[in-house]
Amino acid sequence: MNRKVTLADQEILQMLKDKERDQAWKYIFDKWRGLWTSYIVQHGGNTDQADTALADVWYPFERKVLSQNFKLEYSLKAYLNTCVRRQWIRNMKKENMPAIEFKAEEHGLEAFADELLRDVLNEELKTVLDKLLLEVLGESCRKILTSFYSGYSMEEIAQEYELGNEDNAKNQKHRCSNKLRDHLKNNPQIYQILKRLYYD
Amino acid sequence: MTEQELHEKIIAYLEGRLSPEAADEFRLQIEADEALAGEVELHRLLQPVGQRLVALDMKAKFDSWQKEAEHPGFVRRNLFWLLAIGLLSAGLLGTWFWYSGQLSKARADNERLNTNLQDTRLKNQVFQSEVERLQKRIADSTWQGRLPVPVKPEKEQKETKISPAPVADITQPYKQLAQSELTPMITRTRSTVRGVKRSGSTAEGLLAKADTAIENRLYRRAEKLLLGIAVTDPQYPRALEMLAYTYMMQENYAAAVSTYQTYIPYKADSDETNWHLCLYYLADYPVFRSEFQQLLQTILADTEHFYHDRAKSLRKKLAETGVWPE
Repeated sequence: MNRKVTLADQEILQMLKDKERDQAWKYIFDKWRGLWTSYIVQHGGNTDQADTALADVWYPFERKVLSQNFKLEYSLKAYLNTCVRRQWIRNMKKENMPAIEFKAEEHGLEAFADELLRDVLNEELKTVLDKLLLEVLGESCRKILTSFYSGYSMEEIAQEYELGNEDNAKNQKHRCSNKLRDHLKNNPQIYQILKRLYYD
Repeated sequence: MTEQELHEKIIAYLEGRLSPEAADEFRLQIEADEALAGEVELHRLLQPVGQRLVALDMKAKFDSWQKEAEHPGFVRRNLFWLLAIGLLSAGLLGTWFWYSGQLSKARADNERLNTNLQDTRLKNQVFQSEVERLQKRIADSTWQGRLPVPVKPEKEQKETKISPAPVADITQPYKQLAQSELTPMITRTRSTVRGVKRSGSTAEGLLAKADTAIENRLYRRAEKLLLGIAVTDPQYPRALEMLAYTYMMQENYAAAVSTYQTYIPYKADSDETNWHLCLYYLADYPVFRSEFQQLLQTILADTEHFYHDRAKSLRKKLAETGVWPE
């Protein structure tokens, strides 16, 4: 972990780009988490709900800020804070629990946040996917696919899991993906559920 | 196209990574091929899998960080005790440094005192040896039936025509000069001892042993051996000659001079004995300076003297080294 007390937004973005995701998110978790957690607790929520909201938004948030057309008009901290708060409200609404509404003039970030939150997987889809992953993938396949979707190259994966070379890693990844594909192909029920959730 | 390549192309199409032309072409293929369309649909539905896998991974990390924050590590949990131990260690370390400083100071004091003690002992030894030397001188004079060579008082020395040189330090070169002149002499004497045909007498055996002792610089042993030769023995003069040298090497100059003076009547060559006596005087120049200077002047005055040239050379060396004149 970088021992520097505060990191500039550009430094955080650079860390995310340089595959120092864990360090960047550890910094965010340690330094910024208090901001939305205290807000959520003040408005009737708890720290678990705050962390769930963060876990929901972090992936789309990262994808968004690393996309080529992203412009840093607001601070990353304010942007993420708004996203997490709004995701918490969405989660509360789904569970029919009362949650306060944001004031319209709060940051002017709501539109950006809502655009991002469209990419957040809904709870039902997450449940179906979790079941599918648990049933189909073994530990090694899970690790290889996680590394692949985390942005690691085939060469790095081959090194990490001692697969010999890049081609072996590519073949292994293909076999793991095919397991999911075959399972879905052979289970029309799951296929239909996923199709419904995907196109809803 | 292999199955793997096809799947990679489908994923690239779904993620928008194909060029517009390639994407349009692929779309047409999908529309025309039902099996391909089904394959594409399967991959489309599996697209959120990646996001979910990474999200689960990151969630696990969040949980771990959360746990870390709630349950701080060993250092944070035991900060108080660690600080206490650290302070205690620092205190102990400081005490140890202070103690070792005191210890080294005490050692330095002790060393200094020891040095002083050694100096004092050395001085005592010098005094002791001086006393012994004087005692020996008296004893030797008695043994030889001669009175000890008196050291002339300062006033008496001033009355002589030749003004004596001031007493030089014991490390002055006169001793070296005397030794360098006398050593070849004694070497010759010793070679005659070694070269003599043994008759088996006790004196010859003693002389041979004394010669070996001198060779090995065991002068005290040589002295004892030589003193064992009786006055009536034919080897007695040679023993006296060697004994004088032995005394000189022990820095017992008074005994050396006295012994050599005893030896002189046995030797017919007065030039040689004068010269050697002169050198024995020179060996203890501060004590025998008057005798030395008088004898050397005598040799220098006699141009026929066998050692006249060597005396001149010695006189020159003494002048060069500042022994005489100053």
